[in-house]
This record gives sequence, C-alpha cells and structure tokens, in this order.
Amino acid sequence: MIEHRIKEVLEHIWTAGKGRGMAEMEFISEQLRTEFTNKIFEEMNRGGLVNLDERKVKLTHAGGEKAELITRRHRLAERLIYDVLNIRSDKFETNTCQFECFLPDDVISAICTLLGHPRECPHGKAIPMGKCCKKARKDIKALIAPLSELRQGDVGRVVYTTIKDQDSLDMISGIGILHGIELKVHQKTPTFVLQIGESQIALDGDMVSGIYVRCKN
Amino acid sequence: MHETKIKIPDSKAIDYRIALVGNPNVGKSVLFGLLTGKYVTVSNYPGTTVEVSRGMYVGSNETVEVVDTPGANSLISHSEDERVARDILLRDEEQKIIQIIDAKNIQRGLLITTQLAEMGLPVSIGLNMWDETLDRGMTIDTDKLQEKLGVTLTKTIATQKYGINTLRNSADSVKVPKINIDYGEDIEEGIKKIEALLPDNLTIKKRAVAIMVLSFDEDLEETLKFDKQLTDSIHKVRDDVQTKYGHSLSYVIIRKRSEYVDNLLKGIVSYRGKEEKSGAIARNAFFFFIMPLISFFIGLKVMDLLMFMISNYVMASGQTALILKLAGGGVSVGFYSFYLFAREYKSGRKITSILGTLTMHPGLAWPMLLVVLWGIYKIVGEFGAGECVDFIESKIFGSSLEMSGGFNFRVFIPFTDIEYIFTHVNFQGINYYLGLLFQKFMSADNIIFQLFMGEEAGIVQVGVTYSIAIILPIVGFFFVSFGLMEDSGYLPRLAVMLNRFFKVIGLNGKAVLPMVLGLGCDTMATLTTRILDTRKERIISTLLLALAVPCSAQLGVIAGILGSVSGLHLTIYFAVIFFQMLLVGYISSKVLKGEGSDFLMEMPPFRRPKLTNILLKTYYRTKWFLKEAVPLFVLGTFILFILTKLGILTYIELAARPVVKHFLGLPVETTSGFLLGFLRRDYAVVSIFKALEEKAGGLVIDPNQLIVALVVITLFVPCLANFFVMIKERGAKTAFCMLAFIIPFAFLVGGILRYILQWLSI
Repeated sequence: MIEHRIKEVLEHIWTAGKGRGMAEMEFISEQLRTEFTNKIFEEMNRGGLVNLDERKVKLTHAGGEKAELITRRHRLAERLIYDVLNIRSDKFETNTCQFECFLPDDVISAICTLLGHPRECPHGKAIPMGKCCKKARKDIKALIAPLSELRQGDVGRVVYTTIKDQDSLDMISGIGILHGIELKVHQKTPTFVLQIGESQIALDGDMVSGIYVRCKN
Repeated sequence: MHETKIKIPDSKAIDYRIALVGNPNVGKSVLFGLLTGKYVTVSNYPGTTVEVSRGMYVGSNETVEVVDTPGANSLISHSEDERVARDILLRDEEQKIIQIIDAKNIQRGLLITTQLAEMGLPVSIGLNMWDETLDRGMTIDTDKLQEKLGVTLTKTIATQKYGINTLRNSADSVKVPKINIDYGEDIEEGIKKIEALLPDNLTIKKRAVAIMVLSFDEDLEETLKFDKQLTDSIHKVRDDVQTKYGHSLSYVIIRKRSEYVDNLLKGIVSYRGKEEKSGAIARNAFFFFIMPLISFFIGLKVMDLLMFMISNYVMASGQTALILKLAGGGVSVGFYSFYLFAREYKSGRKITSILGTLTMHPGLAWPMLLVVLWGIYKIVGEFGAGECVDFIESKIFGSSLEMSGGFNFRVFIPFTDIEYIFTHVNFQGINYYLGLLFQKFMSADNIIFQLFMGEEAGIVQVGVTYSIAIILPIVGFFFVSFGLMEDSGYLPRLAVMLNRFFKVIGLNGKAVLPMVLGLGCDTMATLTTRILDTRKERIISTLLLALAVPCSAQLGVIAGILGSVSGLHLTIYFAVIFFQMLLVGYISSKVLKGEGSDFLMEMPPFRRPKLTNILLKTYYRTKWFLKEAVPLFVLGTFILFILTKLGILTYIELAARPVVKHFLGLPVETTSGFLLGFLRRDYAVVSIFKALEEKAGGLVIDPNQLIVALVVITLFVPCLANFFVMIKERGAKTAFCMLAFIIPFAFLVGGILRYILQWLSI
C-alpha cells in the first residue's frame, strides 16, 4: 500500500514542479487528501527518492527518474483507455497504477508508438518523453497519426476515431469512412480532401483531427 | 426548388408504386425522368432533390407510379433528406424498390441494400454510371453478385439512356435481397428484446425497426407514433446494449454492415489496373494547346484586372500595359504547364479528372476562380443586366406616358463596325399601349390609372415590368452560368476552396450554394438557405444575403458606374462590402446561440456539362422563380403605392434627410433614392447616381461621395421581395430584427467610411 502511495506522490511532485522536481509539501498533501503524507515523505526520504526541506520536498536524481517514468506510464495508459478502447470512466482519471505499472518497458514503448507518441494525456497534462519518442522525433514517422498530420499523397488505413459528436460520427460512417478503410490524402489545403476508393470526400474540423490512421510507407 | 412536400395522389387508380432509392448524386433524378418522361431538376451537386417527385411509368400495361426520393447514405435519419427518403419507405403502400447504385462506389450502395433487405422490401438494382466505372478500370462480376444477392442487377448509363428498358422491366422481378447480417451477441439480444416490445401493425419488418432504434434514430419513433411508455422501454434496452460497447452503437452497426458488404464483394470487384486514358490526340491537344492557351488567358486577365484596380497610381502607357499583360500570361503558362507536366502528364489520368483536381488546387485554382467570376460578370452583369435589360425595359415594355421610339432590327458582326439594318420596328412599348387603353376611360391623374400605370408605383408599370423586364433576363442568364458551374462539378469544388472563409463567418463550405446564388438574386438565394444543416447557419446566411451580397441587378449597375470612375474605387467598394460581410458574419457567429456544423461533402467527378440539361434546368428554374417572385413584386409595388398616396413616404424622407446630409455628407436629393432601394435595388443606384450628377452640375462627381452612397445602398435594406421571403423562411420576428439591425448599420458604415476616406484623402 505504501509503495502504491509513494508512486502517487512521485507523480504529484513531478506534475507540481513542472519537471523541476520540487514542490511544497502542503500542496501535495492537499492534492492527495490524506493526513499521512508526512509519513510517506519520510519513507521516501529514507529510500533516497526525495530530500526534505522545511516546507519543500525535492526529488533526488533517482527519484526524478522514477517519477518521470511513473507519470509517463500512467498518462500513456490513460490515452490508451481513452482513445483506443474508447472508455470514458471516472475510475481511470485519478489513480496511478491501474495496470500500467506491471507492464514491461518495451510494452510501454510499443503502446507509445501505437498511439503516435502523444504529448498530452486526455486531461491535457504533459506526457514525459521516453526513448522511443526521442527516436521517433528524429527519424520515424508516427505509425498512427490523426489525418491532420498526414502529408499530401500519404496513404493509410483508418484505425480508430475520437470523434465524439454523434452526428459527425454518423456522417463519416455513412459516407464510408470506417475502421479498416484505406484512404489517400488528396490535398490538405484549402480544405482537406480524401480519396477513398473511387470517390473524393472533402471534410474539416473535428473529423480531420479525430480520424486516426495507420500510415503505409 | 427545395420543398419537402409529399403529396398523396389518388391511390385507387394505381396498381403499385416504385420508389427510386440511392445514395446522393447517383443519378436517381435522371433515371426518374427517363422512366416517367417527367423532368426534375438534375444537378451535379449533392443534395439537390429535397422535393419528392412523383410520376407515372411510361410504357407499361399497368398503372405504375414512380417516386423519386432524396439521396441518402443511410436509411437512419440524420438529415432532412434521409428522413424524407426513409419515411417514404415506411408508408403502407403497395411498393417496389428500384435501388440506384453508382457502380464505381458499389460498397456504399450495397450498405443501403442491406437496410432494404432488413426492412423486407422487394428490390431490383440499377448499377448506374457503368461507363465511368469501366473508364476507371474497374470490373464487377454482375452474374456472381446477382446470384449472391438474389436480385436482378441492371447495368445502366442514365445520361446515354443505356439499359433503361431493362431496368424498367426488372421491376416485374423484384425480390428481397438475400442478406443476413449477424450483429454479434449483445446487439442481437437487444434486437430480440425490442422486437418483442414493438406493436404488430408495422409496415416493415420488426427487425429493421429494432436496428434503427438501436442506431439512435429518434425521428423514427416520432414517425411511427410510439407512445411514451414504449419509447422509454425501448430506450432502456438500447442504453443497456450501448454500455457494452465503447463506440456509439450506430457506428458498430454500420461497421458490421460494411464488413458484410466487403466480404460479399470479395472476388466480385476487380481492377484492370490503370484507368482508361483519354485518346492520344485529345490528350496532346489538351496538354500542348488547350491548357497553355487557357492558362495564358488566365494570366492575361488576372494581370488586366490587377492593373485596372490600381490604374490611378500606375500610369502605364499602352505599350507597357500590353507588355505587362503578356508577361502575366507568360508567367501563368509557366506555372500551369510546370504543374501539369510534373504531376499529371505521365499519370495518365483522364482530362476531366485532371481538371477536377486543378479546380481545387491550393494555389492554381484561385486565378481560375477569378476568371470564372469575371466571365460570369460579363455574361450576367454586362450582357444580361446591361444590354438585355435596357432593351426589354425601354423598348419592349416602355413607359405608359411616353413613346419608346421603336428599335432597329439589325444584324452585326461582333468586334467590328459592320452591321446591317433590316427594318425599323415601330413598336412603342407594351406599357405605352396599355396606357393609351386606360386613357380611353380615364385621365392619367385618375387614381386607378395611377394604381396600375403610374410612373411611381403602378402595379403594371413598375411591379410587373420590373420583375419581367429586369429580373427575368438577369436571372435567366445567371441560371445559365450557375447551371454550368453546377453540372461541371465546379460548385462543390468552390465549396472546398471557400470553406475556410465560410468557417470564419460561422458557416461552412456548403453555404457556397446560397451565397453564389445570392449574386444572382438574393430572394431566391434566401429560399435555398434551407439546405444548410443548423438553424444558426440558416439565420447567418439569411442575414448576410440581405446585408452584404449585392444581387446581379445591382452589381451590374454599380460595377458599371464605379468602373467608369476608376478601378481603385471599385476595389475600395468591394473591399468594404467584403469586410462588412466578414465582420457581421464573425460577430453573429459568436453572438447567436446554437451550433455550426462540420463540413463534409462528396466531390462529384468533373464532367462535361450537357447544354440541353442546362437550358432545360434554366427554363424550369426561371419558371419557378417567376412563380415565387412576381406576386411578391406586385404586392411590394402595391404597398409602395399606398405609402406614396398617403404621403407617408414624404415624412420618412424628411426624417432621413439630416442623416443623409450631415452624417453621410451627401446631397439631400439622394434621400428618395435610398427609399427606392426597398423596391428596386438597381434603380436606387441609378437614381442616386443621377442625383449626384445633377448636384455636381457640369463638374465631375466626387468619387468619395459616390462610394459612400453605393456602399450604403448595397448594405441598406434588402428589396421587398427578399424581405417577404425572409419573413416566410425565418419568421416575421427574426426578419424584422434583421431589418432593425441592417438599416442603422448601413448608415453607420457609410458615415465611418466617409470620415476614413476624408482622412486618407484618396
């Protein structure tokens, strides 16, 4: 239990310090809404994860690395649940360590790649970059990307959509944009035009940013 | 044009009915015309049929009625079109279905077939646009598909009348398609539960209704008149099933259907590889002769227009101007040729599809758009609104009190001075003869004479003459050019080009239809705002049409007057009007409640328009327009007559004078011109111009005064007919609110513009 709590605290410090690794103790206690935070801080201090000041808690190098990893895993998991499994439930919003803590590193990288190395969790908080993201930034195009990030002439298959509006969803599915459909970007400006089979379809707004495709090379 | 009426004709005399069903823009209306011999407006713009047409089958022993339905991508209703189409299928009538499928988009067509099969309706399928399918190197094994589906398939090419008889005969052998889709355990269980709840008197299979309910089709529940108890219990089942899926149920259901169709088509659809190339001669002529010529002209014209705009500042002599224009043409040839040879020459695509891409290209399409607009202005604004109107108004109709003087019947060779006069026609104008007839019974001062033949507001002299002599030629020529844009497939491409601009003002690319029509006639354009998806969009477009889109009657006169002053002033005029449109559109999109909608439109292939279709369409549209507009013009004139006779007009004029004089800085004589704007937007322009001219005496009119006056008259009140249509479409309250905004706003803009022009001392 305490182990679980520590992970949570690490994520909170990381978030509050915006990467600087420092936060007010009182602020963290408030965020966690428990009275035992002092005990947890001490435990963490003993483990060499944080240094304690009078009012502040500061991550050590080891603590910082661990915090970043935990945050990254947690927020990627949220993205996965939200985008791919398409589940909108409050249960997933707060707790660290649903299942992601038990996944090996390479699985996390694979998830990250699958999602197209996302930069933000569904609540708009930053996701720390992993090795795979840094590499992808350099040379590899994301495997899965929203239509808006494709280039003219790119070909891809629809993998999932994040469109929430029922009417828009019905419109695109009615016109034939469904999972597994192969499409080509005919042009991006002035308006997005897709080539699907023998027809060309112009679309914009949420539909362009909400349709995710796996690119073909 | 866009009525949603469903007339139920005498059903005794009819043996059975055939409903034509299919996706948008697959050619249902053309086939309807061929099957019934009745004309419906046919267009290469999706969503044109909202009205439901009915006609009798030609050449059959039995009495068969054919119903043309609006195009629908799904029989679950999301839009007005889909709801209308679906409701026709739900009605309790002896009904057979002919489904039209665009063969090159057979997957999408068969999605509808699956729904028809679930409804238990007997179907025969026409695979239309067979020629385009072959051109694209696509083959469909129809025998195999026919066997799998168990329904008759007919290959048709509606525009060439190919396969029509076979399709007609296939109505005798309609069958329910052999399609059974398993939607998965959870949904199937939900279907069973809902089926058990549904009443027994449904016209289609319960399974189909259950699936529609699960797809969140709540209009259906209304159509079938479910009571609250039933609705609540089926919603409970639906919501239970929904919790088992991450995606919306309707999406899951469509996916299942789509998977089924994909499996069905395995081994049936194949590609021969490359699509058919156009013939070598046509191709080379296109690349080496036609396109260079066209692009040269585009460059030349764009340069010409540019120089016209800044003509006051750059005093290019004749020779420099010519060199600049030629250079413009040369640059343009360079750009277009580079694009065509780099991207298209080796791709082997058809010329029409190259044009289709070119007309919505991010860069190259804009100069083309400019030239297209210029061309329309030449046809509609100069020829239609200028020469034709002049002739018909002054010579054919004339005036009730003065002789028109007759006209010469002559032939001439364009661009030369050569002409030959056959004879002088001594016709003094219809109104003159009518005036003489009236004067047999009464004097010209009599109130009855004034009511019909009066120069100020006589119903015949002003109302009827105005609608036929002025509006008819303009609208007629406008419909011809509009038809060309529509049938070639240019209009949807224009929607793609202008979508971003429309987004800023709270609309989307779809609004291109009413807005472009507004350049022809705002009254008619206001009627077509119905095609927009949300109420907010319809209000914004109605407001902008009334405020900022000058109709061609007005535009022709304004461009003529300002163009003769200087290009710069014409440019300022357009810039101001455009900026007002942007400003008002932007603010109203923020202020008005409700939602805009996302843009989704299928681009029909670029096609060579058929002249007969365009002329026919122009005829029917003009007829429809006259039917709608003439009574309104007559009513408007009548109101104006009463206002004049009671002297109310004089009071309004007196009240408006200070504003006109002190705020706009215009001579008081122009006031009556502004009031005229309510009836004749173009006449108001002329009258203001004349007032300014008189005031200036022998001197040149102050161009700034002219711009201020013209901007105000453009923004100021829509014409009476337009206002009536606004009331009819949006309700009296909204229409009066718009009017209450437009009038002070127009004067405000005019006043501000006056001070800005003074300050800049242009």
